[in-house]
Amino acid sequence: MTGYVWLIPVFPLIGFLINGLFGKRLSRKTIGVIASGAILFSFLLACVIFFQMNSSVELSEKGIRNVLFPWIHIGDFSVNFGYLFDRLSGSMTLMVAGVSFLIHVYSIGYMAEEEGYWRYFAYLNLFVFMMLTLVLADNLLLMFVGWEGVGLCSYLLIGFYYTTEVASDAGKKAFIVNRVGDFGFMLGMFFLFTLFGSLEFQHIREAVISAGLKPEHGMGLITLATVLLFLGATGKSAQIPLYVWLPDAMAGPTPVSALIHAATMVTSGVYMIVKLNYVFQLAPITMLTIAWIGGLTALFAATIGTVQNDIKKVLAYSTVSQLGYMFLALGVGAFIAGFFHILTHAFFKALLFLGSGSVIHAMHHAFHHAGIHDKDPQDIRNMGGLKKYMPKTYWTFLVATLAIAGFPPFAGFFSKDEILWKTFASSHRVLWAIGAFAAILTSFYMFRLVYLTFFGEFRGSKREEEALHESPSVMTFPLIALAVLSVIGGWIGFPHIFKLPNVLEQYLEPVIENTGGIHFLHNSALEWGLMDVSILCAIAGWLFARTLYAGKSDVPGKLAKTFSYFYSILLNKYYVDEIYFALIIRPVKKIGDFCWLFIDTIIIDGTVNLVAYLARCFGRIYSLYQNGAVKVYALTMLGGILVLFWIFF
Amino acid sequence: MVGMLDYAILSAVLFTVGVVGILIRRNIITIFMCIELMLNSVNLLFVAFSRYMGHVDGQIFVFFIFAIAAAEAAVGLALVVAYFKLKETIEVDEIKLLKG
Amino acid sequence: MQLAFYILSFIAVFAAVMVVLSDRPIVSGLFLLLCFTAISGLYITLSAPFIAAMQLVVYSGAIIVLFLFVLMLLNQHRESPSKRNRFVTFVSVLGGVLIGVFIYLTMLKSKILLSYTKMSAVGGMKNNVETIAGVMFKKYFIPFELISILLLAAMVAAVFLSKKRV
Repeated sequence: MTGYVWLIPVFPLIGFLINGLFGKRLSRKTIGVIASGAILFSFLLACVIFFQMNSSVELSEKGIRNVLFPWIHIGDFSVNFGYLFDRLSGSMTLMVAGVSFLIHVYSIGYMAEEEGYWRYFAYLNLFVFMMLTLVLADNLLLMFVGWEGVGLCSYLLIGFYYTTEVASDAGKKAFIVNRVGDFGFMLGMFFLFTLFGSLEFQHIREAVISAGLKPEHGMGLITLATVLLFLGATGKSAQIPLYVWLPDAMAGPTPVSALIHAATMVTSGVYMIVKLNYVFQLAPITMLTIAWIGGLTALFAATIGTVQNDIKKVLAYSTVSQLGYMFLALGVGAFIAGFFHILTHAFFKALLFLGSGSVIHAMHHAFHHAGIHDKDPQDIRNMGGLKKYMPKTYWTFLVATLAIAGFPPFAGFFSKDEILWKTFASSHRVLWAIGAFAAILTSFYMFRLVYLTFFGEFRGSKREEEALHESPSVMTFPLIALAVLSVIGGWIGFPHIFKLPNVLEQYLEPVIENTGGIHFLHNSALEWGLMDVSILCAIAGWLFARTLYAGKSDVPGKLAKTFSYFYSILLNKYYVDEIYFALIIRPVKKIGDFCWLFIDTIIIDGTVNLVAYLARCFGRIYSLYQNGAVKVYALTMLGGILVLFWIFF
Repeated sequence: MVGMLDYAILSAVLFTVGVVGILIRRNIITIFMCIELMLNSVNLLFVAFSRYMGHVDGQIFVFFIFAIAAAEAAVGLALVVAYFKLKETIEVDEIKLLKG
Repeated sequence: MQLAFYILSFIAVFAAVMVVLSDRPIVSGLFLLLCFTAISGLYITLSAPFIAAMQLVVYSGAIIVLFLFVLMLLNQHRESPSKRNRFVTFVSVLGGVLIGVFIYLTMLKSKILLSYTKMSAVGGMKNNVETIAGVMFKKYFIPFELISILLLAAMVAAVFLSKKRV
């Protein structure tokens, strides 16, 4: 099976082609089965190849490489269209395909009544194809194809409800903001090519190792290249300063938010950096930048998340915050911890989104039943007490909340604790403090969400309440599956102090090349202590949320009034959108207006019109001569002949 | 002895007469005749060259010109007839359909 | 020979001038016939009997007859008095004559032309028709076929144009 790695991304492509070309004529059931089936095939094939790879020492060291055909070959620049299935990309593929499959299944239920059912599944399959291409690419250029492709699918799916202005605007915003990052990625790629003469990961790695490069060599170009690549990562993975598109991306269907904007696509920036860890380590400045950007994003997004009222917005900011943790891990050199958090985060964040989708689905039905059209089914102020009506959703949501908040033994605890410990152990104390504080906030806003959504009394009319019901089993099955993963997913990476095998770290050890000489502190007592601190953080956030939101309390309102200044800043997301609007969009628009109204309309159009006007004037003059009289033509011809004679005589 | 130049001059004179005829006559058919005259002057030059250079190719060209002149006369006159049916005149000064 | 050339060329030029000067198309046509016949005689002086015969058949026979037929068909007697500016006529004549002068001057400059004073007596020239046939059906075979297609096309066009009701 080792020759069939390329089939993994091809299955979703086939699904996309079938649904995209013939979807209009197929029944909804067929479409759903084709789309989910394609992903299931990919997943199963990936599993088979994964186990085959691990059973052979040689394959698991080198990875399975499928070169389909030489793609570009100019001079000494050559790129193959090839897929590489190694330990890192293999693990990522399993996660992507697995989570995608669950979300596809969920979508069958969630989208059942939507228009454009086939379009949705076609886009979703295309997305998975692109994502798998990104993950499995054996060179940067092919990765960039996937990178752009997922961006495109993200745009298409955010703007899925393209008839509403919010959705189409959000789609455009995501696309444009991502372009800024893509530009960085491209430049970074070009610099890497000039440095190493190849775009293939294996070649770059060999070049770095054989040259014995060390950060002390202080290569400015590497710093520049890595900073640019990181700019690309901030675009795709929603970090400061390019995170603004992600919260708006919630305008898309909820399963899309779960798949693209939480579990898979947004982690591609992290994945890329893990993949190129040996290059990034050569640039300590970049590493420091990554760590700080990650830490600040984690804190910044978490603070915004504490006051949002839209269930999906809270989760969106939570995603940004969790991605910040991943970058924090990368920045301090704990690449495996960052990747570990990708995996666990994929499980519990997908679960959270799907759970919120289930809630929104129910609320939507309730409003529909009551004949209400102006109420927002995503606003948590309209919910409450849903625990009674949606037990499965509640329990799974709670599991995910415990996971993200960092309660042992749920998945999030292990990965987040690993990140915090590694941050501390690489002597970034301030960043550790920021991370720990963000952990309190995380726990707080998640429990706030849980309390407001599932506890207390339902804050709607009786008529709405009648229609509340649990979602169909096609939707709850993925919830349960993901809930199980959210519990046990973290057990692949026990900390050393537990004296249990850390499967993930042992497995990914060969992927990481310690070119940067990164050194971590080893102190079991300290690690135990810090672990207690992070558990305490989670508990503190929970208790705080419980005091404020569990009962009928007016404390939150009072707090908001007392600190109305801060509250409004947080509610308006630090006015970042407004600042961007004033500092970037307006000047650009002004320049555009100038180019349009002055350069284009007056200068260019004026020139063109002038030429046309002159041509018309000459035409008028010469048309006097075109009077149709043969004698004039004959005489003119005679004159012409005479002139020619005169010239050549 | 008659030289090549004499034939050439004769040809030039006939050609000139044809040109003047085209310019001063107003009847399309007469203009056609003048065109035939010009073609003949060229034919004469061809045959003269053929004779003086000892090449038969010139005469072949003359033969081709015959054919083309015949075709031209046939189509041209058919056009004249068609035009006459339409406008009842074949005076070139009256023909101004192509006025721009 | 010399005498024949001068007499024939005088007839040809005289007839040509009359073609242009006559304001009756019928008269022009008949003078044209005379001109063509004189030119046919000139071909004989150039020892090109085949071309001379063709000249008589095609021009004097077919084309002139066609002209005269059309003239009769359209009932053209005399050109209506000219409304043209005299100046335009004068310029036309002057221009035409200038072209002739230029052609003459050009010929005088041509050394090759002036060098041909004697008719060359190439062997191939003796049996004129046979020589022409040999060249035409070997070297110029494809042009010959193309010309025949052209004639056919012209015939179809002529029939179509004169038949079409306007």
